[in-house]
This record gives sequence, structure tokens and C-alpha cells, in this order.
Amino acid sequence: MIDGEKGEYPFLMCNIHYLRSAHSSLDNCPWLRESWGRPVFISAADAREKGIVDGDTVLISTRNGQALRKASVLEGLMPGVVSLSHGAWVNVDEESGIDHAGADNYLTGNDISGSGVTPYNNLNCNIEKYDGPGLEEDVLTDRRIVEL
Amino acid sequence: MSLGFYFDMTRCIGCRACQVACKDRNDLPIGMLFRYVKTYETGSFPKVGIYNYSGSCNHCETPACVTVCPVGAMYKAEDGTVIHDDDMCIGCQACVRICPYGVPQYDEVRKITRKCDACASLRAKGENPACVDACPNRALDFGDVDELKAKYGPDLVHDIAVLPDSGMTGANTQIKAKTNALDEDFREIRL
Repeated sequence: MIDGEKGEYPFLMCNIHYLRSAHSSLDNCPWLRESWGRPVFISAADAREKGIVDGDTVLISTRNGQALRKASVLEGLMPGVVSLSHGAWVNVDEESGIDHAGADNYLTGNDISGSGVTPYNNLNCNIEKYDGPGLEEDVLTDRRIVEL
Repeated sequence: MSLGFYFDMTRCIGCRACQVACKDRNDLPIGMLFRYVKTYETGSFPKVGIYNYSGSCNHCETPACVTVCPVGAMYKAEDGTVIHDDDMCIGCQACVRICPYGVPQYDEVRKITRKCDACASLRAKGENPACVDACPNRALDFGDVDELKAKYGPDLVHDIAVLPDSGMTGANTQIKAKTNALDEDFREIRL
């Protein structure tokens, strides 16, 4: 809230459209994954405060869920803002419940409006350097193609 | 005759369409790029600059790769482009080690090096290299170096902060640069 105190989720997350995919379509194409790594963008000031350097695996938490992404540290991003691109194919680790792909709709929850959509402008999140195993680049992960 | 690429940094939005078009044209595996796009930041919050660089073979006047090739697989063609004869290559990777721009790429499967030939087969049909036609902002062009200079204006450069000194090999790529591309204090960022 405006002029309120920051709580458990002090960062503002926006979910940009990203050139790797059209929403989630084509997200598993190798050449697109190679060109666009789908990192989580964080500001240089916040990265310094959190001890995160570019390429570190970051745990993103909202009140609805958690996700992992590698960090891209930008001077050009407003401090206090975290940008997680829209379109990843959710890939939840069964044991931890953490989504390794960074699907924005895993983090947004299920509040449905009258017309049946989940409308949200942005959401509050927290970020921490992840103390578990680092993520591989998406281009090296399973494309999850179903053999029929 | 000198042929080379023209890159308009002021138009480039860093979409990587050229990088992917080149991969498609040459059917390249993951990890091999004949054209690469990188993005850089300069300055610090709140006064920040950003630019993209789409780089490929510079079809140099005095190519280091041609000089070091022990079997003559790398040569300067009549039209001025630097061409690699895949059949003659012995995979020694001398060219990979010597090129200041990292242009020749080693193919682990075929055990040879490969690189951009400015889409020679397309040019033979009177068409543009794949990257040039793929760019949605028309930031790339290819052709006679003097004609490109006349077409795109007198303020083109061969050197920007992220590139090695073009004088070493006589790089023929001409760049319409953004001002902050000359800033030595740059950082590569991952988009």
C-alpha cells in the first residue's frame, strides 16, 4: 500500500512480455531458449544488499508460491522492482514445491474475477539468494516433448 | 573490392532475430553462433545507458584466420569475403584461437571449424544474407564497403568499446554507433 510499511514481500514484481515465447507458446524451442534465458531481473542496488551477483540462482517468493530463476542484475531497473518475464512452462519440484521454471502464474494465486480471469496488475514478492543447487540454463533442460 | 556488414546500433532493439535467422539458415547446434547479439549497460542508476551489438564475421582486409590456416582452407574470395572451405579443413582450430572476434567456431561433431560466409549461396542468387532480411528494424545491411558508407552517412565507425581494435585485422564491419557505445566502462547484461 502507498506509504505503508513493507512487509514480508517488499518487492514489486512486474511480468513483462518476453521475446522467447508468445505467452507460453514456443517456450521450449532450443534456439529461442539459447537467445533468451528468462532470468529474473533485479536492480543492482537490491542485488548488492542481498549479496546476489549476476548469474546467481534466486528464490522468488510470493504469498502463493515460490520459484527459482537465475539473476540478471541491471542498473537500469528501478530499485524495489523485480521483473519476471511471462510465459515459462511451470515445472514444480515435487519435493520442495518450488517451480524451477519461473512461471508467473504459479506465483499469482487463484483469485478469479467475475469474468473468470485472474486479473492482477503486479504482485508483491521477496527475493533471496538460493542456498540450494544452482539452476542450469533452460537451453540445457528437458524440452518435455511427449512421445506418443 | 571489399564487402562487409553494416550495423545500425541506433535501430537495433536487441531482438536476436538476426541471431536466430542465421542459426536457421546454417542449421547450427546449440552453442554455435555465426552471428551473436549481446546487450550492454553503461552508467549507474539512475543515469543508465543500454545498447545492443549484433556481431558476425568482419570479412577483414588482412584476416588473421587466413594467415594462420596451415592448409589454405580459410581464404579471401574474389569479392572480398573471407570464406572457409569445410572440405579442406583439418580442424586444427588455429583460426579459432587467432581471431580477435571469436568468429570461427569449432564443430565438435564434424571436427572442423565453421563460420559466417555472409550467406554466399543467397548472394549468388542476388539476395541478402539471412540476418539482413530478418531484422525487423532494418538495422543490418551487407555489401560494398564504400557503397555502404555513401548510403548510410559519414559518421560510421569500425571501433566501439566492446570490440577489439579494428586495425589489427582491418575489420570491414561499419557501425552507426550510439554515443554510449564508446564508453569504456560497460557491462554485458543478460536479457
